[in-house]
Amino acid sequence: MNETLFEAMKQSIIDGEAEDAERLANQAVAEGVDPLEAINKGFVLGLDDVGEQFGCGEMFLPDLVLAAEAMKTAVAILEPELAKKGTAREILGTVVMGTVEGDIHDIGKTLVATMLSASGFKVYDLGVNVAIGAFAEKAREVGADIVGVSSLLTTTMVRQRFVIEALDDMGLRPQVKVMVGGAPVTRDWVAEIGADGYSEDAIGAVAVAKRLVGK
Amino acid sequence: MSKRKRKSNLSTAPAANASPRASGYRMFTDAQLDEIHHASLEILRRTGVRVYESESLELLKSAGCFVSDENLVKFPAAVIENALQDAPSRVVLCGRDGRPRLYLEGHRTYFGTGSDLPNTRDLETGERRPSLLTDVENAVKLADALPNLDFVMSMALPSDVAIETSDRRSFKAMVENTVKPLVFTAWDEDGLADIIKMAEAVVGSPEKLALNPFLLAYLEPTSPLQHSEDVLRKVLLMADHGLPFVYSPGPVEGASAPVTSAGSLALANAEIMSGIAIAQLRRKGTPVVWGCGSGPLDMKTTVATYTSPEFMKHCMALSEMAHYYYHLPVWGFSGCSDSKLPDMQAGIESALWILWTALSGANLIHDVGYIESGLTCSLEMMVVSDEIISFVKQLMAGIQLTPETLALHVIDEVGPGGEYLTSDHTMNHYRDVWYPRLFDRRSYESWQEVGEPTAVKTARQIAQEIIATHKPEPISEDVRQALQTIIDEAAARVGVSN
Ligand code: B12
Repeated sequence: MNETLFEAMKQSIIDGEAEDAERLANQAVAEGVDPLEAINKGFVLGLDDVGEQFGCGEMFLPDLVLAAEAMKTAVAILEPELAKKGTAREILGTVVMGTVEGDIHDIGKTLVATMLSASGFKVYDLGVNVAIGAFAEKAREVGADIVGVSSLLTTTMVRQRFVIEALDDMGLRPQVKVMVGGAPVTRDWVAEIGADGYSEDAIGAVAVAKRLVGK
Repeated sequence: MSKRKRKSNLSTAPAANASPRASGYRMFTDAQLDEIHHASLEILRRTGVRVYESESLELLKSAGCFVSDENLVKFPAAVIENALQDAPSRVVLCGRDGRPRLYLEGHRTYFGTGSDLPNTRDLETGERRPSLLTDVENAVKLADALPNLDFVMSMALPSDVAIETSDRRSFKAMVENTVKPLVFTAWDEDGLADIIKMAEAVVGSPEKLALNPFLLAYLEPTSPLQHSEDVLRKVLLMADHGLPFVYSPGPVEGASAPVTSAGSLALANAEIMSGIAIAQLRRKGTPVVWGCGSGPLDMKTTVATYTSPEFMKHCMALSEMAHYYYHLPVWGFSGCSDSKLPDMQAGIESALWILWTALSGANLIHDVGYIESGLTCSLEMMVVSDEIISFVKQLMAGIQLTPETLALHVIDEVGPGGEYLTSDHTMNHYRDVWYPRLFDRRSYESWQEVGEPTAVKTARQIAQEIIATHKPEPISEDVRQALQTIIDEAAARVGVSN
C-alpha cells in the first residue's frame, strides 16, 4: 500500500514539485508511515533518478536544483518526526567547502556545495577568498569528514597543498578527507599533494564525496 | 603584356581600417539603449554594488554616493553620469617603438589573442599538455607575424616558472617577441606595479609611456555587483599612471547573472560604469575601454561557454551601448571556441564570432586562438582565425563605387560576347580580389598530388614555419637587462628562484 505513496514521493522530486513533496510528507506523517522509510524508499530515489538523468544529458542543472529544493521541503517535515522517535536521518557526512585565499571564483564551488547538500551531506560553505587556516579550524569545530577546496587559478591552486598541511598540523588527517577541484586541477596535482579525491564537475564531486565517506 | 603594370605584391589584407564605417546592423533602437542605461542606473541606485577597497569607498563617498553595511555603495545617477563625462572618447595604442598602431575609436576594429591558458595543444605532438614559458614566446611570435592580428596577449599561462612571478615573466616574453601593442593581466597590485616599471624601462620614462602607451591592462570586476579589493587596487594604480585598461566583468548567465540576456546586460553595464566611475574620480581622464564577456552557464555540462548566440548578442549589445550611448572604446571577443580540438566546430565557432564582432564594430577584439572554453591554447586556430579575419576584413570593406570600378568603358569595349581575361582592366584589378593562404581551392587531382592538405594541417605547418624562422624586432640588451632585474627583484621579494 505504501508503494504507491513512495512512488508518488519519488515522482514529486523528479518533477521538482515542492508543494507535492510537502503534501506527501504530511500525508506520510498523518498515516503513520515510518519517516525514515519515506525518505529512503521514496524521496531519495527521486534524487538518485534526477542525478542519473543529469549525468546522461537528459536533465538540466535547474531541474537538479528544483529537485534538491523539493527534497529539502520534504525532509523539513519528516525530520521532527524522526526526532520524536529518537532517531535521526543519517547524514552522509559533514563537508567544509570554500574557494581558497586569493581566489574569488565562486560559481563552481557553490554548485558543488549545493549538490552535496542536496545529496544528503551537511555542508558548511565558507565562501571565497578563504584563509588557509580557516578550513582546518572549521573542520575541527564541526567535526568534518571532508574538506573541499576549490581553486580556479594556478596561483591559488598551490594553496590547496597548504590546506592539507594545516589539517595535518592540527592532527586532523587522515580522518578528515580532502577533495579538491577547479579548472587547473589535474590528476597529477591531486597525487602530488596527497589529496583524497577530485572531480571535474559537481555530479562527480558527489560520487567522490560518497566514496570518501564509504557510502 | 609588357606595357601592363604589375602590382608588386599579392596583398590579401585589404585596408579595411582605412575608412571604417558602421556596418548598418543595429540590434537596439536609441530608445532601447536609453532603457538599458536607465536599468543599470536603477540597479546602482536601488541594489548597489559592494566595494571592497577603502580608498575607492572614500572617493565614492565624497562624490555623493551612499555607503551602508561597511561597503555597500548606492549611486545617485549624477555621480555616474558626471564621471563618465570625464572618460576620453578614444584610446591610442602604440608599439613599443612608439609608433601609433591602434586607434580605439568609432568602428575601427582590431583583433588579438587572449591570455592565461593553463593548457597548450603541442604543435609537434598534437597532445594537450600544461603550458610552458616557451608557449608564451611562440604564441607571441606567431601573433607578431600573422598579418591580421593587431595586438597581442600572452595566450599561455606558464607552468614551468614560479607562479608567483609568472605575470612578469610572461610580460617580458611578450615584449621580446612582438612590436605590436600588448594587452596583459597581472596577478595582483605588486605584479601590476612591476609590469608598469618594466614598460617604463622599455620606452624610457613614465611620461613617454602615458603619452604613447604600448600596453593596456585587462581588469575584471566580480559579478554579481562586486568590485574586489584586488581589482580596485589595480584600477587605482592604472589611473594614477594615466594608463589605459579595459574593465570587463564575466557574468555567467544563470549562475552569477540573470539567465536572460537583457538582465545580464543591465547588470554588467552597471558593474562596468561603477568601476569606470571610480577610475575617473581617482583621476579625471583615465583612458578606459568598455567591456564584458557574458555567456550562459551550460546547464547540461556546467561549463561556462565561450561561444553561443547569447554570448555573441551580448557583445553586440555592449558595443552598441559603448558606441552610440557612451562614446567610449569597446572590447570584444572572437576566434574562440568550446571545442577541445582545432576541428570543424572550432572553425565554425571562430568564423561566426569574427564575422559577428566585426559587424558590431568593437575596437579591441580578443581571445583569437582560444579553445576548450578558455582553458587551452591552439596555435593552429590562431592561424585559421587569422585567415578568417582577413576574409571578413574584405567583406567589411564593401564594394568601391568609382567610374574605374564600375568599368562602363571596359564593358563597352569588350561588348556582348567578348572576353575579359586579356583586358588591361583585369590586369590592373585582379589583385584586388581576396586570396586565401590557407583554404584550399585546388582541383581534386592537384590537391591529391600535394598530399591532401586540410586547413588544420596547413595551419600547423604555417605556425611551425613562422616559429622557426620569424625574427621579431629585437629589444636592446640594456632593456632586456632592466626587465630581468625587475623580475629578479620580484622573485627575491617573494622568495622564489625561477
Ligand atoms: C567566470 C570567470 C571569472 C569571473 C568569476 C566570477 C565569479 N563570481 O566566480 C571573473 C571575471 C571575476 C574572473 C576573474 C579572474 N579570472 Co577568471 N574565469 C572565469 C571563467 C570564464 C569561468 C569560470 C566558471 O565559473 N565556470 C563555471 C563553473 C560551474 O565551473 P568551474 O568553476 O570549473 O567548477 C566546476 C568544476 O571545476 C568542479 N569544481 C570546482 N570547484 C570544485 C571543488 C571541489 C572540491 C570539487 C570536487 C570540484 C570542484 O565542479 C564545478 C561544477 O561543475 C574561467 C574559464 C573557465 N573555462 O574555467 C576563467 C578563468 C578561471 N579565469 C582566469 C583568470 C586568469 C582570471 C583573472 C586572474 C583574470 C584577470 N584579468 O585578472 C581574475 C582573477 C580574480 C581572482 N583573484 O580570483 C583563468 C585562470 C587561469 C589559471 N589557471 O590560473 C581562466 C581559466 C580563464 C583564462 N584562461 O584566462 N574570472
